[in-house]
Amino acid sequence: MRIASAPVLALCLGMALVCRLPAQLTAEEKAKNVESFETIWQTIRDQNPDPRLNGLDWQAIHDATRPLVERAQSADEFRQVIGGMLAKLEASHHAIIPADRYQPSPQDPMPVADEPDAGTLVRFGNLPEMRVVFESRTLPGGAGYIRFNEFLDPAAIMPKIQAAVKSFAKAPGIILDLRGNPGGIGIMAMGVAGFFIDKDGLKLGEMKTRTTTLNFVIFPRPEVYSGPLAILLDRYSASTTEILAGGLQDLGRARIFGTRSAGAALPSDIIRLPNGDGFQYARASYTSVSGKTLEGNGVTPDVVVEESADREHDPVIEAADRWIGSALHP
Amino acid sequence: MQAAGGSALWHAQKWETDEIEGRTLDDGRVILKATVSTSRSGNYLSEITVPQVASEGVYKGTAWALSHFSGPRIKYSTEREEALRDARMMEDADWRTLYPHPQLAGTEEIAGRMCYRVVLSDDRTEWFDQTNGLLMRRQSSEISSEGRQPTGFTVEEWGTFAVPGGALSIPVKMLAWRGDLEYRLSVLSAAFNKPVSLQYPAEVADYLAASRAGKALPNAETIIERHIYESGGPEAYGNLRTQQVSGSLTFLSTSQEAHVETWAAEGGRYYQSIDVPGLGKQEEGSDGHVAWERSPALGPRVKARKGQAGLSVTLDAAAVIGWRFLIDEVRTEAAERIDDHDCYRVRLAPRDGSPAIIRWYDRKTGLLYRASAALSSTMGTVPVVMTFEEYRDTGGFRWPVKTRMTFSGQSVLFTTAEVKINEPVAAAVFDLPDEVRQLAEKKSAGTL
Repeated sequence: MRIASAPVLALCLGMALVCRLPAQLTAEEKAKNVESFETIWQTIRDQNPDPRLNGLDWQAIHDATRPLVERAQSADEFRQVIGGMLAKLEASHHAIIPADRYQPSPQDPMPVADEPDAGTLVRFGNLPEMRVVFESRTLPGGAGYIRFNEFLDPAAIMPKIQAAVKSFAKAPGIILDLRGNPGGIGIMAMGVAGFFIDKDGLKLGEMKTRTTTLNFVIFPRPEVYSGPLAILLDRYSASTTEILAGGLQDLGRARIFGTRSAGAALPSDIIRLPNGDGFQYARASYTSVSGKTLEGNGVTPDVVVEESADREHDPVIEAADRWIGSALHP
Repeated sequence: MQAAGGSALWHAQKWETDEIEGRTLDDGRVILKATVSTSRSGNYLSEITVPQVASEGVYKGTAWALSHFSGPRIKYSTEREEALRDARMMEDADWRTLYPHPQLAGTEEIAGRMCYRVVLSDDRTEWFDQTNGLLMRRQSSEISSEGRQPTGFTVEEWGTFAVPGGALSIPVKMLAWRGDLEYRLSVLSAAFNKPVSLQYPAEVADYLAASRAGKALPNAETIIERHIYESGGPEAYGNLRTQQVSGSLTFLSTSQEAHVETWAAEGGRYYQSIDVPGLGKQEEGSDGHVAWERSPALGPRVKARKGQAGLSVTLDAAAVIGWRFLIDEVRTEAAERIDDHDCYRVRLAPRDGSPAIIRWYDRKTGLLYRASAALSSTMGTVPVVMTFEEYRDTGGFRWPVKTRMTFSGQSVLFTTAEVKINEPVAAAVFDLPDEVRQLAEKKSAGTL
């Protein structure tokens, strides 16, 4: 399974730092950290989509980093050392997920900002538990509005999108709000695109590992919405979100509103390390259908609209809604 | 024998060379073209140009074959005996020695002519025209990958060829059959006593020398046929009607476990469901006409190719025993140790032009241990390595309980829980889901 998720992981690391004082490591824990370091170093060496590894002397980095790992006195210090090593790659989707993030928690472990609706807690692969929120409604002007905060739990989310798109069949347009959506399961981008593309054989872009090239092909659904489609992005929109938005923009199927996305669009995997931490690593590069590299660049909106602090008005939704209205009555 | 020229005249012939051609009965397509030379010393050479360039023969007791398809090969056991029998074509005149206990088993009408039915051996029966005494039909059998199958011909026309001292008659038009295949076989020309070298080609000589020195690798056809035999045999594959396989698929990097259910039936029908935690049910199937896939993430889609694209845990009997129809060239590349298994590495070049498949066959058991191939779909081509472990007897087959699959940096393990062979399967299992049917209709209407 492939995860194309922007790291929620810096946040996780931050939480771990404030939750408890660093505990001294036992000799066994130190050995597990060294083993974990070797796993990380080898995984990057063998799987990174850039075989040149950003021009780094990876062996020299190994030899310099290993003593620091051996000397690390706490789990947090170990993660900081690894974080420093990963930062040298200057690429997204490289992160450590602290082991305690995998502990099931009876309370909401990571409240989603501004989410009054609790949503559903889901677990996928080696990702920690995540909360998935879905919302759909009809805007006053008649446009359909769909928003979800993660590309996860397709068995629950995709039927909701399908039902919403079906209910908006006669709407003058649909607004897909992917602001703050950090991504998730990469193939869901193709699945969502299939609700809005009615022609067979199109693709959002392509993903390249060192050995394979995979096309992000769009499979049209039996019932497709062919009216105006607006996608809303912000600087937290990343990964799968960028793959979907960038591809539909390239195909001329969607108009993008908001601010430039995160530019963190490397398909990645997450493995569990011997010390119990999770390790997310990029294992493919991605280019949009027009050949644009999304990593580091993001998706540039067709209509740039800054967020407003005014909670009564959302200028990004309003701009998209106006465009839909103008498309209906040009 | 008397009617065909007489024993004395036949005994005087040392060589015979026939140019033969086989054509289909319906459209007259050429399916066989060869020059067959035989000597009275028991050597023979068949130089084939259709269906592919190849040669085979017997030289000084060594039965051999050489083809672009699989390279040089030495025939052993039953296959060798059959080749030696074929090499004795000119010894029909010595039928009393070859078939010391012939039995007249009655009379029968063949193609409107009353014939004597003569059983020459357990495996050879001939019918002779009561009026002119000539051979009317020959019935025998031969071993193939589909098992032992009937072979023979009914003579439709005789030809007469002048030789010093008289004339010889041989069948020149025949309705021939080999298993279910019927075709018309013609002798385009025949020459007698024209000396030809029947020695095997240098490539075969080299292979034979290496073989005698214990350095030759077995021919790939032999290795593949051994797997077919050891995993159930051609008859079991031929009788395979339905399969039901269930088990679990473990994603090794995440320890996630998915439940797998698969049904397959004749006519290319199958249905497979893999329920992956966090991803939902991944389905694929075919009702024999429309192949499809469906998952919560990607939705439904109609596939161009009818074969399964991902994990395939059922046996495709037609592909197993009819493997030669799918392959253009096959070679044994090496003997090598994989994990703890001494294996032969075999390379197969598919006829459809897709990348070569590499297989490793366990030398001890003869069973397939590992296969490396490229799975193609509309999304692209992904190299896949599958390792088959813990074969067990199941429903007449040797079935791998565990299949490890590595693709695109991921490793999964399929563990078979239950296999049911030839048990009734409800036809509705293979019905197309409504949304797949809608897509298929759109596709055939050209609106997708």
